[in-house]
Amino acid sequence: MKAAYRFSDRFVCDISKTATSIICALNFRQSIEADFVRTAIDQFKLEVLDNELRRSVAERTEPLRTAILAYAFSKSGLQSTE
Amino acid sequence: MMKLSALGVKFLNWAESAPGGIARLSTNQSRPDALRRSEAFLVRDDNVPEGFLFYVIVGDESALLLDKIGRRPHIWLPNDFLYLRDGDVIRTNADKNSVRVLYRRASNHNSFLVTERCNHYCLMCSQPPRNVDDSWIIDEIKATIPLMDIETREIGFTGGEPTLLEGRLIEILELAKGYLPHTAVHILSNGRRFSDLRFSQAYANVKHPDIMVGIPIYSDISSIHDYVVQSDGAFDETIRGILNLKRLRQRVEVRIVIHRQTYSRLPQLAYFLARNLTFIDHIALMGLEMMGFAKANVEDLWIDPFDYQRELFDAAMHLNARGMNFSIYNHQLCLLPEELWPFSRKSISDWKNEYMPECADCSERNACGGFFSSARFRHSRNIRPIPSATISE
Amino acid sequence: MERANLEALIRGTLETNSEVYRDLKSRHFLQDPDSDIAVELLALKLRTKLKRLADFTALHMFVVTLRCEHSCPYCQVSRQSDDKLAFDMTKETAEYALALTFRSPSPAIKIEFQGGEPLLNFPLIKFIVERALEINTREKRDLQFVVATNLAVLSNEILEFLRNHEILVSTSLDGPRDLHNKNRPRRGNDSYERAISGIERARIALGRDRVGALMTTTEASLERPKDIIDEYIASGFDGIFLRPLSPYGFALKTRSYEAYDADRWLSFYFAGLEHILNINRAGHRFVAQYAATILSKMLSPFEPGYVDLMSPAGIGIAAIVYNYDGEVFASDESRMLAEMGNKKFRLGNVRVDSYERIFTNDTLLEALDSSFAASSPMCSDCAFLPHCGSDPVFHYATQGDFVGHKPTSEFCRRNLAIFKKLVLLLRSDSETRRILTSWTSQV
Repeated sequence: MKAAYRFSDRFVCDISKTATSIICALNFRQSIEADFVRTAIDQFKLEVLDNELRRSVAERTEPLRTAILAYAFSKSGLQSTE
Repeated sequence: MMKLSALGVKFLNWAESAPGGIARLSTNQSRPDALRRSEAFLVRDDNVPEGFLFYVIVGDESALLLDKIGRRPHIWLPNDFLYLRDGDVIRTNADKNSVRVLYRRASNHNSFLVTERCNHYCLMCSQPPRNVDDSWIIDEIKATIPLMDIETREIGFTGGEPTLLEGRLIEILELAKGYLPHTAVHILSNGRRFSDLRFSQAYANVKHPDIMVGIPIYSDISSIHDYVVQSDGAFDETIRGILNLKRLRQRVEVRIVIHRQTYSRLPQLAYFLARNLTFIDHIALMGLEMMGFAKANVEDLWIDPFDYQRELFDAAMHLNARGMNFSIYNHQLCLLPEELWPFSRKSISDWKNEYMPECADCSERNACGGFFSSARFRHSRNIRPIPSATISE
Repeated sequence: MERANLEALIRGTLETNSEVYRDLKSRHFLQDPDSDIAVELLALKLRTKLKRLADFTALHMFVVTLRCEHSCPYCQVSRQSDDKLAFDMTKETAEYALALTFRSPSPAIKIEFQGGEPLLNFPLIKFIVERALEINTREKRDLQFVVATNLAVLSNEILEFLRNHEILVSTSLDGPRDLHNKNRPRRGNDSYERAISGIERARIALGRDRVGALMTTTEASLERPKDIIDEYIASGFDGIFLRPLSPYGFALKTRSYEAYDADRWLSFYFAGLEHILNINRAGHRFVAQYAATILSKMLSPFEPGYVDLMSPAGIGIAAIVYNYDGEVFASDESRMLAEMGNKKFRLGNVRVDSYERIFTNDTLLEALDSSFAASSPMCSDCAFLPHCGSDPVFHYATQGDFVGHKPTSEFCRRNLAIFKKLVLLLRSDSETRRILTSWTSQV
């Protein structure tokens, strides 16, 4: 969905789910060249991949990130005390 | 005339109530009475002032002197003791006919062996351990410290392993701080006892103004270090000890003896120290001393320092590049690359150093410390004089 | 490391008596039952690296005026104007900013005067220095002042003040005269002459180690790395910071920063680095400062604290900017971005927003969290992660979000190339390795 949003200036994306997969139908607004469509599809795929990676890496590294950022703010007086 | 003992030491007029034990020497004829009562007078000429606890004469016995001394308790010492000076401290034992020198005021290297016991068995140990009850040594040191000159620059505590004395070692440090507040203290230890934080805290609580522990690390690899000191788990515990000392802001020196077992990974040890123990105050890179176990294990330990110049150079230059403080000891200048000369210290005491015949024409003789007398047993085949043209200034 | 050994290591079949095995053990890549001190030492090194984080904001930049008598084309912020009312920071604003400054828990605080040309508002600098020192008698921090100035308007009175308060000077020297004056025009076309003269006077008054210089890289610079470096050597500096091209003029015009610019800059940088190494080989110590910063991260457990190469990013939590009008920005680049029309990293205003409001600003927190290098794709798997950083402002400006897209990121491309080059140089010969290592002992 994040990827679709980012490309919303180039096409509108209909997302639907089946039992085994997710289908993205890309509706291009104007009549455009095949090249443009191909490039847009490739970039869209990359964008989806990027977002998926970000999600998964962020999840995996959450404890480390939280610990370090907590340490960074530990003496700032900005953390709420229980 | 009393018969000379085998040592050439004679105790004369030493009655039952006679003085024994530890005394400071004086050559001052005007020494205040309050002091001379507990001191020994070191006779130099034919002046023998009254009132000292006993008298010490070194060298030839002369009838004139014997006459002057009369019935007063005194000790004859052979010429070996000619170095004795005002302010030195000696221990006398009439029963054993012996005199030991505990402290020499003029020396730059007063070192106290606090115990011969040790929990390591280093392959190159110059003071092989003995498992004896030598707790009397501490008592002797405790009696000596108050007699030492307050201007003494530095004293060392060595062994064996000094920290085996635990609280008694701490007591000596307190005493040293109290009686010799301006004297730097240098302790040689394997550092393992400091892995106990409470002991480290007791040590830190002395708050001595100028103290450092010299701790050996022989390799960056635990198994090699443990092999050299002949004790499993030594490496880990030693580092834990160092970390504790540093947590408590105590000064630590790392000492490395370079020999056949330790030379090949010397650069890697330098990388390890510069990376992990960046806070070390000083690193001592030391040549092998041919004493004690080193002689017995000479075939496993000996390598001509000339042959490890590359490793030593790499290690030293890395430490230098990383801004670590270090010195090179017990290496003759002709065995070191010239770039390392600024780091080489003259560490052999003035009266202990010797030179080889090859040194006769060397232009760097004075800067170089020469050799320990033990070097006669084995030394480099590459000793050669440095011609003055070599000096690039 | 040889591929065969790497595979043996991963499979667990590496010969334990081999030198490779020992090296890996010594450098804490592996641990075996012989010894378990490695974990403690690694923890110590990690704590050392992260130590500065909790000190929080140490660098506080005060933009005391936007007025400037230069008109450098690459400058985003300065105003050709005499209107002090419009473009100078007031005492009142400064007072608020100082209050925020000392809310930082950092035991060491550096106040940096920026502009425009800060010396054009010297009275305010005086005020801030004196007021800060007054506050510091109570706060007892390690307080340091720096003024980033072109030195063109350096009067004796100003010099005297700088001397008495031990204020550091950071000036601009873009290269030899023709390059410098071309980059940095002013009426009279004498920017270079004034800079050199100013440097000389400042050195005598303040001491050589209190006067530094930075260069800005432009198109014209890219052809002349050696000339620029030689200028710095001739001018008596002991090092140079060869800076990357700044994207902030172009950011809003193109969506992605041109990759070819990165390659051209890298050619410039590597030519400069080789020249610097040759100078060192000839016996003269001269430091390539960006390389030295990276080498410190590679060869020691310390964090040099260079704001643009930190993760979490240094924005806000290491450095902060108080603009002439009281606007607070997360970094100097954030301010430049605002000048281009994008106030994404504006955190508040000193007159109305509290310390809490400013430093818990949503954008700031989100930028810090999402740009965390260890949580970013590609960065999280990168061998150079400990040596690199995240730069959310740069990535936002050039690629549209805080994380960016590292495969096409100029930041990534540039740093990756430099890391690889430094590793190759460290392994090339022992003299080069020693020179590079020696640059780390003071950083």
